[in-house]
Amino acid sequence: MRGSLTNRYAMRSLRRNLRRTLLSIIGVAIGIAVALFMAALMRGSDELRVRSIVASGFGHMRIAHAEWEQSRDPDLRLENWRAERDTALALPEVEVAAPRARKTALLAFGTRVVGAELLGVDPVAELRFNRIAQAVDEGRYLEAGEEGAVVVGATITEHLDVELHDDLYLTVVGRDGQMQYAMLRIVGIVRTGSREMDAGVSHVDLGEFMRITGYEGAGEITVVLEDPDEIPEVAEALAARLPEGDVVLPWQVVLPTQGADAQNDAGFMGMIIVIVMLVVTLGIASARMTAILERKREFAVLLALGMKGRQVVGLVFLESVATGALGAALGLLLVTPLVHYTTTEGIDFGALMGGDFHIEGVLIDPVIYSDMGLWMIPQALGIGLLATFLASLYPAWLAVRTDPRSALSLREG
Amino acid sequence: MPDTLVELKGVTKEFRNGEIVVRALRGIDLVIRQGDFMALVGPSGSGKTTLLNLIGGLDVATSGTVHVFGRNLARMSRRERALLRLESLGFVFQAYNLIPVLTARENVEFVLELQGAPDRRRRALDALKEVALEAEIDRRPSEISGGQQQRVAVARAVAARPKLVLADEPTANLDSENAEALLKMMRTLRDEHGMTFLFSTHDPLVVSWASRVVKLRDGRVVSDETRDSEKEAARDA
Ligand SMILES: Nc1ncnc2c1ncn2[C@@H]1O[C@H](COP(=O)(O)OP(=O)(O)OP(=O)(O)O)[C@@H](O)[C@H]1O
Ligand SMILES: [Mg+2]
Repeated sequence: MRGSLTNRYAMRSLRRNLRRTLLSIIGVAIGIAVALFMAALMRGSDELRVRSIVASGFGHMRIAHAEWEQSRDPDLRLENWRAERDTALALPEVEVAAPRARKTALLAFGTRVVGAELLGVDPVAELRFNRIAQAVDEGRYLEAGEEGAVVVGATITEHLDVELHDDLYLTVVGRDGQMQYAMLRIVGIVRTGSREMDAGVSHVDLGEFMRITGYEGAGEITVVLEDPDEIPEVAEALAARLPEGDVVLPWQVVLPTQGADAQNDAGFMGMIIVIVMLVVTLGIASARMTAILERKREFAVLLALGMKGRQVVGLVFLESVATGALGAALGLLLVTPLVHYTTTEGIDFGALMGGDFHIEGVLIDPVIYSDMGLWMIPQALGIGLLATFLASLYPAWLAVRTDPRSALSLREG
Repeated sequence: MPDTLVELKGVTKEFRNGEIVVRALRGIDLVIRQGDFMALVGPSGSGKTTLLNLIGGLDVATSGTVHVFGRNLARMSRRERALLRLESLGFVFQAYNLIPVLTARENVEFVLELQGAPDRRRRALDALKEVALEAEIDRRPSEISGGQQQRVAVARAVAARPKLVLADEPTANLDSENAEALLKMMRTLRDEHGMTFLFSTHDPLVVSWASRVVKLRDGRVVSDETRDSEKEAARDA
């Protein structure tokens, strides 16, 4: 029963010792502010990680041969790659489905030689999401079905001492085990900002790739979604539509180091929230306990009059919930400007990480932006209410345990 | 023969503090009837409060039986006894024991709210009128006198029209003028609504107003004196 007087009673009891109540509220608020700030930053960096992974050409997920996850063998092929690409594109959540094939190759000009991973691509699809394809600094990117053309990273052109429109001599081991050769003209030079990244870029049209290597089909299809939150659902829907022998791998599987990093971050975040909750809970618990012990006589009278234990517990919790909710509101108020600043201005970890930064071929932006959003409201309320709820368990028990006989006699008064 | 509200048979109560056993009640037989305006007297430590606690279901007897409104309290759960108190018993305590953050009217209304009674606001006002506090209804306990606080406590005890009101030394903290006014109000409530009152007291004034005086000593009833209504009426005049 939550009558209006019960509410009034609870609120006035809180106001009665205003200083203590305010201190509790501020305690909850500061705890929540710290947790939210950390969470906003962590979410921001998570989002950035996924965006970087997608833009570095990995997409949100990949259609691959079932054996690929184990062997990572680039020569495995998707038999029905065209149908699979179309299946992916038919899903409304899918924005891009980019078929690709890879093969280690040697690029030569005159007497100079460099090793590179030759990537066969669908140029139209790549340009829609791949930051490397978009980072052509001289010339242009490939055109669909283009023959005899290659786009390379700037580091490769430096090593080979070549310029735009020079012809490179390419050597690969073909399907039959024989060396295959091709002349490719440089139509574009890529500068991503990372010299190491640029050292690995050599793109040719997928059709050209098949002709040179003799390998039919695509080795993988990179899938990009409109909304990264839909990865699990889309992965499942897509997997169900693929022929046997082919699988869908989310980015966490394609890039295990990144996946593990993301998991560590989430674990760290969870730990911070638990620690904050613990500190807040203990702080509130001691304040609530003092408040209840001071009112022992009041509870004795209420119990003697016939108030049910459940109602006494309800009263204690009502007071706590109010403290928690107000603390959450104040915490949001405190942290919002801070989160807003880091959302718009970002925090530059560049100096910390030393220049450009990439892991497993993923270009990482060193400026991390917080993720401000409505998620902060339920999170703040959740932490505030859970902490005050936990903090009230023991005080509520104390209140119910009050001996109603002490209302009548002055013995315990 | 008026209705029996409370019946105690061979009731004893012992308190055990480690090795020490205090025998607070040593075999009480007592019947309280509807309309009694009864004073429980006796020296300090004779067991008055202990007896009120047993009748109110706040404590249980060591042996013997306590029947309240025909129900054996020993057979009832804590919860059932709480419900019995809430619905059929009123309490007035020595130290007024109002809720400090609620006004006079809210203090009375709160108990009605706990009962889930309808029409709470009006009933609270009526009860406060009966104790002549209509002018103080919106004041908090700290803003009214001790006598007025005790009248609020009486209003709170009787607002739901309980059959039996238990009061432990209700006049202990009042001067004789306030005590007399309080007793008069409770007598009126008994006469108009047929409520039954049981006081524990050291106050001769309460004794003089009582229709029945039961004296305890060392946990036993040593006298039980009912005054005939003529005498009461004569004193009232
Ligand atoms: N909770 C308790 N624990 C131990 N002893 C108790 C307890 N309650 C009462 N007693 C003892 O029981 C006896 C009766 O006490 P009780 O309070 O009933 O007396 P009383 O008649 O109300 O006295 P007073 O007039 O001083 O209020 C006393 O000896 C008291 O010390
Ligand atoms: Mg007593």
